[in-house]
Amino acid sequence: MNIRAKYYFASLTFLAGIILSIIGIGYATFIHLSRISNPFDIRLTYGLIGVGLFVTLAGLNAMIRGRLNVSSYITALGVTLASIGVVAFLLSYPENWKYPNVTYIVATYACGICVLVGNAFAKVILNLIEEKSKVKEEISEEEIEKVIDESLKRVVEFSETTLRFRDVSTEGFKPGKAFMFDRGKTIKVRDEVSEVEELKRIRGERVEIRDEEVEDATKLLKETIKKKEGKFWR
Amino acid sequence: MAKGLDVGTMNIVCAEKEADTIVFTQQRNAFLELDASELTKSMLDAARVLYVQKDDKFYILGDDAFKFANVFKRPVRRPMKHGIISPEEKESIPIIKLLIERILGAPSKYNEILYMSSPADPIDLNVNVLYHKKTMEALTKRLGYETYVIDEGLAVVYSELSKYGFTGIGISIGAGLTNVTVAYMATPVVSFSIAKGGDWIDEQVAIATGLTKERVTAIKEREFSLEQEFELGSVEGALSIYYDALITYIVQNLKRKLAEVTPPEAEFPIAIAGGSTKPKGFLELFERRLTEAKLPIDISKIKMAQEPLYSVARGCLIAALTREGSEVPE
Repeated sequence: MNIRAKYYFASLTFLAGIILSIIGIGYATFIHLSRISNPFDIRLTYGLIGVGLFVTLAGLNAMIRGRLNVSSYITALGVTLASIGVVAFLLSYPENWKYPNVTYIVATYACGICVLVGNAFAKVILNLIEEKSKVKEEISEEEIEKVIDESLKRVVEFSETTLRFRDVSTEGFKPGKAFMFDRGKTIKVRDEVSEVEELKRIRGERVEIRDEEVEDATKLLKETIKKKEGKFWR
Repeated sequence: MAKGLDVGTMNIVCAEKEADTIVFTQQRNAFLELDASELTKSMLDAARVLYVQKDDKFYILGDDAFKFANVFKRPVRRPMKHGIISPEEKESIPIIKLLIERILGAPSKYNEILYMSSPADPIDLNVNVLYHKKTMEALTKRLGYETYVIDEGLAVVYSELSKYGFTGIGISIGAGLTNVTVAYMATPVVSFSIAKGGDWIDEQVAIATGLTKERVTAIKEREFSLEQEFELGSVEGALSIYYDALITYIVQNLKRKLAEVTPPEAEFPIAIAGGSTKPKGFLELFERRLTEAKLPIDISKIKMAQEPLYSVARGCLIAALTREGSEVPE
């Protein structure tokens, strides 16, 4: 599944979970649910809320970007445990809803929820750590040198476009007969080159920046580098 | 009308638009030196061979150089090596100039826009491409063109990945170099080249089998396919071994370079072009090695360029036509 489809699927799962939970809570309010209510109503209400909660968490887990493949297995484990809990509740309530069944069922469901919450938490923390290390890398000495090297390379490339050269002499070369009419192997391909319009459109979407903004950014970069390591700009 | 030019180690290709067609003009970037004599001259003229004479030497140019090399069992000389002007050939610049003049022709107006491809700096060879780039630029400017240079890999992206918003990886596997550009919305994120290509395969196979390099090139270009099983010890067997080695090397270097940058979160299709991708089964083998390598980005599709040999020139033409039709300077 591609990234976009994955993200849409995760969002829909999250939304479905929220909707199920809201329906469950709404239904409980509507029928004034209490411990003496009809067992069917109790099963339906808690079933909806129970499913809604873990589906919401599963969607949340899928929405958070994670580099480890193991996290999807952990999510699947959490969903499985919580599903077992809900199904067991639906099957055992009210006749078998007593000790020790209650403990086993509630513990299984709670484990599933904990696994899902824990996994989401771990993913967020790992992403934060990764982002922080990226920021550190960006301002490392090596990175600054690389940026300067790249900039210098570009400056050299652009500055030389104004250079003038004397033409390469080919005066001593006398062309043969075929040289005058043979350009090389030629083929014609039917092609409208529709890419041109697409490329124009994409280039047109580029943000234009005023010179002053570039200058400001350059000044800021200079100051940052100066603070970091004075030697580069002396 | 604008033009696109691909100056490769093995081929020079020019692309220009003519009504609803693109005209590709191609010539081998090679020459062969022969001793001059009246008899040879009349023979070459009668056979309409492309040549020039300097002092007591004939220089047979382009495709004909290869034909004669095979007949006389002599190596052709190449004005370019590893994607750039060869420092080992003192005649390289005049010969390239003669070839480019023929292929490109005169501009239809002064300062006609020309986009030319150039390799990126190789990551596994201590070579800088600036001299080559600037020399080629100056040569074409002297012919009356307004020349702009783009990376070879980016030209492949322009030519093959418009459907994906010009986002993806363009790989051009030429004779001297393999050029790679990772682009996001027509803007290069990372460009590099690898100092191995079709020539490296030919050289290694020639060493391994004892054939001349020209003979290996001829076998490779005429009948070789990566889909067949070959006898161990055969030329084709050696070719398949070195093709596999080259593909693995390209994929591993791509993985290494991608680990050094932070590409945007997007799907990256891959387009492969270049004269060295011609054998049947190349794409399948590339796909297998790519899947095994597990790149750190999402690869949505791997496709072969519609015309692998002309893809870079076509990409340059697209850039040139875009510039010509655009009033906003880059």
